Amino acid sequence: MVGAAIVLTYITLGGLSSAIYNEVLQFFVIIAGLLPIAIIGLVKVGGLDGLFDAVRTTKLGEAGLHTWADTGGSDNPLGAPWWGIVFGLGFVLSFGYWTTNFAEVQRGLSARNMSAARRTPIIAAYPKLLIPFVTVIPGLVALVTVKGLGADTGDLQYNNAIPLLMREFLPNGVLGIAVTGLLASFMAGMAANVSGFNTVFTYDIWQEYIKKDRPDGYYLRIGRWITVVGVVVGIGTAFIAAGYSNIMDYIQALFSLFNAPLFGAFIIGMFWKRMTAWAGFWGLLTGTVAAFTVYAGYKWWGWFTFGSDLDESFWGAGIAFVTVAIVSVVVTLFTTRKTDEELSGLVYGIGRHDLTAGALAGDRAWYRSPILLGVGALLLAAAFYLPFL
Amino acid sequence: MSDQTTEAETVRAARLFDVRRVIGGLFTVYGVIVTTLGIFDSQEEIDKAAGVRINLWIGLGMLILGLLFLLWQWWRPAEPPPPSDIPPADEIRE
Repeated sequence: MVGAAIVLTYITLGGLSSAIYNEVLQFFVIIAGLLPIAIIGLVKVGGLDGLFDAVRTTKLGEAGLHTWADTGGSDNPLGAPWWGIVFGLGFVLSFGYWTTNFAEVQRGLSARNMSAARRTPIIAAYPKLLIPFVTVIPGLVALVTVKGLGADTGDLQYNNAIPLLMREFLPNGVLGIAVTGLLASFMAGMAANVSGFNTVFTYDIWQEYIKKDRPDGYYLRIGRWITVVGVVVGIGTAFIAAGYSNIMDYIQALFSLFNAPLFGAFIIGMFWKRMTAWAGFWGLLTGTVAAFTVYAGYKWWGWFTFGSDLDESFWGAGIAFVTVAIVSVVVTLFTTRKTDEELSGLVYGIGRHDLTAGALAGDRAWYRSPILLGVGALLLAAAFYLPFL
Repeated sequence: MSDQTTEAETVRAARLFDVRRVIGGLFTVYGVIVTTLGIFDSQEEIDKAAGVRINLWIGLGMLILGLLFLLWQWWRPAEPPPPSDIPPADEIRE
């Protein structure tokens, strides 16, 4: 609650720039807070080898140390087969996360020129690659050191793994840093989403459809009030999230409902210039309904069974994507498309982007090449990935 | 007020709020506090952390990170964007 109030203050007063500014700072505090847990945890269980041995004796067993083993069918801890992981998680959910999640996109839009905008998501990938070290390792350590972890209620829920480890391992000093880190990560996430929410609501809904042509000051005021609403909604969703056994299930369920159809409509619209606006609208609507049907049919109505909550999200996302594709094609055949001029620069193959727009002197340096940085991130990801097949 | 003083003020403001200065300052302070705690850690606290002098190491790590950020911003001070780089709000909408 206090954290939410702080977020509210700095976004209302400082807007997007203060959100981004604080996120940069919060990133370092989060790492400084989580790193001690990973280090002490590893020492406690006797290094990586000790950790792996210990994990093998838990109910997760050998499978807990692999990413792809046993995914030929659903007989693995995730309860999902490889095609669900590749298409649902890898393609729809992950691509959707990096391309249509407004919190990410907004960072790219605020970059100072084309080169910086192209680099934004790629540079973000590097720290993201290191996050598993401070999340997966403490998670496994908690699994083997905290007895009784995984209860449905009380202190020993999975979501409390990090606070439990902090209480057990950290002496005064780094403990304070870790608590700060946890609060920082909460505030960073909240600020990112709230600043996306108020922008979209004010610019794209209020200004377009409800009150047009007012002075800028008016929209700024609306934006500030919407920020308040966003923070309240954010606190409300915390109670919904508490109903899930872990945050990951909740996030992926949300993404499969909202991001996956959006991503489908986006990517088809980007590469297929015949697609019409109505096709996008109906595709998005039916895609969301399809994902929701899968979700409700699994959670509440008992129509479908899946290996796990995550397995449901993968399927929901995949089905939403396919629905969007089919509906978009059908609707397109019955409606009129926009002209090439209207689509120029928005759809692949029509018009050209000036990739050097607003370039600065330093942008030609080799280490600022988006392609080189992208390849580097891919190689690094592969290097982290391969030992744990 | 002449143009030159406002320009100097802009430059000073841009440097004062340079995110590297804030990160550097924060981590230097954190680093000093946690390192000091680490030097005087009791055996009980070291045992709690599985025998690692975690306050000392993390404190030193944060101190070094903080100082590096401060050095970086002294070495390459921030330049404020030229005024023309900030388009009016209507253009941002497009």
